[in-house]
Amino acid sequence: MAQRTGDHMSEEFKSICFTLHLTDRCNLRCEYCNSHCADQGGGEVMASETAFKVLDMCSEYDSVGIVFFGGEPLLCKDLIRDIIEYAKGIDCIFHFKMTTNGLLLDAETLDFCKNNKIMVSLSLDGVQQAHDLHRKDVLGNSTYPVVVETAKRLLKAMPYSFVMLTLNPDIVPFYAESVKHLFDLGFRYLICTLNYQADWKERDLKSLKAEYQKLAKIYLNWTLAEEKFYFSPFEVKIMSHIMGGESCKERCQLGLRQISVSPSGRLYPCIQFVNMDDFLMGNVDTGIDQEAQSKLFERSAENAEICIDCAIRQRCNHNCGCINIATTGDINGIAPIVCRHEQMVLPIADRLAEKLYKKRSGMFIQKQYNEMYPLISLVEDAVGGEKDEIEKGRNN
Amino acid sequence: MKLKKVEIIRAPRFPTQNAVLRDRSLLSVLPKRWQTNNVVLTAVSSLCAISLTACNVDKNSNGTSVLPSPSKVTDKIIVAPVFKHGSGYYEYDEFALSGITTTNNKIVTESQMEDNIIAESKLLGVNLTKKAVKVDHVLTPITKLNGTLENDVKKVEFRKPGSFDLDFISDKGDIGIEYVSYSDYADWNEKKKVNNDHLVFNPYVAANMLAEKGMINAKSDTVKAVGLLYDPGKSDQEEQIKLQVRDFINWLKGQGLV
Repeated sequence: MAQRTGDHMSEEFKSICFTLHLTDRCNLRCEYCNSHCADQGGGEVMASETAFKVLDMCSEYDSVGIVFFGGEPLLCKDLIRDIIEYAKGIDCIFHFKMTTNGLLLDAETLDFCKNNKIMVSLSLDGVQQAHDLHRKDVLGNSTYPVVVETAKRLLKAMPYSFVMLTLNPDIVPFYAESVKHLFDLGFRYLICTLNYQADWKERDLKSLKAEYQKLAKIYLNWTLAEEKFYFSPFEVKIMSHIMGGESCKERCQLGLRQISVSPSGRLYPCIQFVNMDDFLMGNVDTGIDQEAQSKLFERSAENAEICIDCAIRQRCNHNCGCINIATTGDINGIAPIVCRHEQMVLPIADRLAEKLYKKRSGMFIQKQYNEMYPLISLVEDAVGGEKDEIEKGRNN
Repeated sequence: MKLKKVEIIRAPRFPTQNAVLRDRSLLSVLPKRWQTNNVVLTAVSSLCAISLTACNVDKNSNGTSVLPSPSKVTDKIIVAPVFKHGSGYYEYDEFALSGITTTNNKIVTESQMEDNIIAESKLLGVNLTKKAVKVDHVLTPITKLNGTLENDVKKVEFRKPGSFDLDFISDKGDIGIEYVSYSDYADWNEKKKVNNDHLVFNPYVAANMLAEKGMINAKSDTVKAVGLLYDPGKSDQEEQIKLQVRDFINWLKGQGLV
């Protein structure tokens, strides 16, 4: 078991991820947005010097993830280009990622992302009825047609791109249909996250459970049909058993594995903490304040009283400081919706995995237990097969 | 909407990664289309061969890699979660019955509880023998008899890694059980002398500490999996211990170990 101490980090921690909040500005007006783009018009933009200072900090690591985040990061295309260029002069392996609403992901930008290996995560809430509930432009118009066309071009250029679906209570009735829609578009990495800050009611949870049960059937059928995909809510829970509970403990290493950088260059432990002075962990000029980092990490390792004796605590997401701060204002505070959601998904995911194991599904077994599965899967795609399947999906 | 803890969870019936690492035959189950693709089959065999060695590489003091012996690859024990049936909590103002637990009108000795474990296991297809079997690299929690031990692994102290005697072993010698009773709890106590006027102890917490930390690096050449049972507390002990045994054996089935 990895020890949750700050000392542990200094000896073994050779990789890190910096999330660069390039701008507070956004060209969408999503009501549920978690980023800090309250000032929609004249928000702050990161200076290139600030971004370069972050990259200068990276040389002490073996491998660094750089996430272009916002607001909408593609409002800062020139800055992204400058950052990529500057990174070429630094002795470190960089992995670039970008979370975008896709409106500005034109052909030229897409080529740039492909050529520079920037992994793109596209925000798309599923079917049009679901997507249009929240993801509107500044005039309140639908963005669905543009984003779907972008998704098709993105998948053609970069078939392993992620799609991110944010689940608000009013989207729940479309959940299973939306996941299927995203799969049919060609996405194979489906990241679905609840908007935990929304006003969830009992009726929403009842509906959500029914949708998860539908999704379990869909997941079962896809896996038995030997489709390759990743559906985050079930994968995380299945893995939490397979890894013996260790995966949850490892997931939120608050302030250790990921640092969020505000447009002004201040360092915070995760995206929800940006501009919260109590959680400031240094800045790009002085670097990471290791004492603050260690203290925060220790603080985040505390368990809420009610969780201490809970039978699922080792498989639960209660220790995500980012969700906790967003929902309760306390990094160790647990929101009832988090607790209820975990208790809902876990048994559904377990039964799904049990069925697939009992049926000795080759795809399930390889995906969940063979650590070489990603490489073998890439080999398979390189010699045909799966690419044709994805292509078929895109053309539907 | 309120927070509510989960009291009991049904043990999942699919294996953990550790179980598969012990018996890699499961990995020979391939998707059908891989079976007819020679390039993929070559990748499977060569990459799996690499993982079998690379993932178990140890480093010697010079930092150079040395491949482990086959036995070293597979000697790590899988520890089952503690299945909660009974609070495990005891509080006595005048404790005089060492090793004995009491119900309203019935005394259930530790020996009787052990008989229950053997009988219930046999009913479920696992033959156990009461026999001390050593496993290595176990950290025992330092318990307290005059106050509750916190059920939070970060707040509990452990002794240095050492050998540990399990209470039961299966016929095949691959499944072990530790029944955490008052006598274990007393053995692991932080002080030699205990104030017997007011005793508070909880074998459930101690079992949890073993599962969460004490046994995670436990090793044995023969024992593949260990179940941690505990004295369930003051009510329905016999029924509760049978439920613990049942859940453990269901878990073993899920792991493909029985």
